[in-house]
Amino acid sequence: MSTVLSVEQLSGGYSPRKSIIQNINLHIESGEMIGLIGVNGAGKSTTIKHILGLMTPHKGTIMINGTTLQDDVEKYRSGYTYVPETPVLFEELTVEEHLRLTAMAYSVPQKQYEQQVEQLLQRYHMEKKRKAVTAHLSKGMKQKVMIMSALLAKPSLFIIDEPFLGLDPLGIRSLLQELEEVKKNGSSILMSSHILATIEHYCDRFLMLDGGQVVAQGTLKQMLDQANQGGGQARNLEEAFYELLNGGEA
Amino acid sequence: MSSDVVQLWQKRNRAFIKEVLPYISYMMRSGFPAFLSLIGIVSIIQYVNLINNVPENFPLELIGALVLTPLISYSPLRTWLKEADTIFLMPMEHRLHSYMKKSHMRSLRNGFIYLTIITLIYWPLYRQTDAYEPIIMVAVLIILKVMNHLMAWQERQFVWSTNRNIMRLFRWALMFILLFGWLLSSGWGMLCLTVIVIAMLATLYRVTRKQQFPWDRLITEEQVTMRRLYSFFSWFIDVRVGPPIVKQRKYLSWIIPFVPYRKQYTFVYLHLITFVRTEIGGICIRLLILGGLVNYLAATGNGIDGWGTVISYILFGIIITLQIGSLRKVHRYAIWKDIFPMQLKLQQQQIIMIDRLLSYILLFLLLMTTTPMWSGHGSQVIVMIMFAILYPVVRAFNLRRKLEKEVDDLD
Repeated sequence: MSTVLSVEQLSGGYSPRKSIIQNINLHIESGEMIGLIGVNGAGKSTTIKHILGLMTPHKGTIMINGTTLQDDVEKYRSGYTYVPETPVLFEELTVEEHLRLTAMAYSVPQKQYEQQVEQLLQRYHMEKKRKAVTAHLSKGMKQKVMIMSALLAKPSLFIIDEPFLGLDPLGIRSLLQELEEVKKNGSSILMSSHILATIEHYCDRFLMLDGGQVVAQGTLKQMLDQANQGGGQARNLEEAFYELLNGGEA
Repeated sequence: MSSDVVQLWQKRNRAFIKEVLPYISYMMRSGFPAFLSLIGIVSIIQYVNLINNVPENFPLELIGALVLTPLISYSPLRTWLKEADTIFLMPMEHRLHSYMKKSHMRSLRNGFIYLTIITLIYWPLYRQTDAYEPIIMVAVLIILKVMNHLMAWQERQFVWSTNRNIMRLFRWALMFILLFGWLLSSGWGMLCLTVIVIAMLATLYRVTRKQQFPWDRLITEEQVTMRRLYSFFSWFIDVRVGPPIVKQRKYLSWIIPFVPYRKQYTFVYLHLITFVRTEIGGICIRLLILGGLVNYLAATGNGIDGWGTVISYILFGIIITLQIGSLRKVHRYAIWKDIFPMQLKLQQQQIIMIDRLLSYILLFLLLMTTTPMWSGHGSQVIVMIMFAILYPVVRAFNLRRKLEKEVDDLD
């Protein structure tokens, strides 16, 4: 197992004077799925933005496959793909063109792209929409295009922000199956989600943020142990979450 | 009771004027009016030359029909309607008659102003046709303009967009035939044909399924108009840009797969699609047709010993390629620019590449319309070819500087 993502002592925010997140440490090994959890405003999106390289840290280092953004922009960015919470597409492109564009950007060999694109369109029930301009798609379909684009790139790290929003039950099932497959192939996943009941079955470890700081982290068992330290009765991730957040007062 | 909706219309009309006035001021200061005046002067010289020496077999009637058809058939409608109106104004739909009347009157007034100007310009050529009948022609133009305005409104009411598009195309084609006919002959035969065409169209409109008040269509039309306006203002100053209006444009999208599947062409691919499917491509195509027509007329007229064509070619070449410049602004703030594994420099090189490629293609196509004057005008042809070769290079140089400056500003 090798370290795919390494975040050390990360502090950062929009204003240079005030850090929204403080001293975040996170390591993801290959083949691991990590759930990033926390209430709104806990610092999940800010952490993700720093990892994506969209924000410059005030302090600390971020490495993907042993490279920082400053060392080698191309190598760093080719190590991950990103699925944002709200689909952000080039609206004038068709579904197929969007997938081709992503594959070109990530240097996916053409033959591999041609094989994969058919499988993905089938799996996500989008064959009939392949020629549709993305501007005319529903939000759920746009999210599927985002997910398919990320899967096409086959990076070592998938950064996924609230992946289940807007997806229909079939889409959620396909995505979860896909993520299992991704893990088996050695890629890692950092997923932010509020749907704790679902992710507790799929994530290997969790990182819980509150007020920009890590309040708990570890496997489900370790999370439950931390939550129940003060005599709590948490039996699942959701209960552990409430317990850790405000001593069980949901 | 209707005065409140009339006041609302007037208020929105005033708000629109107030909104666009600052941009008009920027436009005036940009040198654009001087540029337009230059085009105007050159065109007048060319046109006077043509009027005085109309070549034998010059297609006077065809040119007249081509120029007058869009002015007769195109009936835009400014309603100032917004998405929120489907909640707040829809309950008052039965009282919107006075509101819409103001919009219709404005549209007709503007339509007649443009029609009058263009008809007056065309008149010296029309006088030289065999079927010159001034009073009849004026009456025909007035009747056709009003009929087209009414028919365009009926088309807006159609439930299905496909029906609307087909009918609009059909109407434009019929108007071209009618105008061409009236310019060739103004006899009873044409009167009968006109009555038959109008009766046929009226029947078709009557039997097609319509909605009472086409809210969605009017709101979309309003958004499209505003976007076009802002797209025009963006030539002079950075303006708020909404998401692009997307059209499939199948007649042009066949060129997209020709972009090689390679990382170094990622942004060429993206921007070519943007060009094909957004209003930028639409404007370029319309300008290419207009410029082509003007060049062709200038070339056949052979004004100022062919130098008039050279000036017209260069002016339209600059105007058309200016449009391509807006391409880089469409995705300027796209998140994927900072996520795709690609150095900023490579992205910039690709943006310059697509700008140069499109400039070459459009300038070449425009050059083809000047062929009627090529024989015996070697120097003029060389100047145009040199412009077509060198101008995209100059543009690329300027674009590189602009892109570097934008990066510096962001840093």
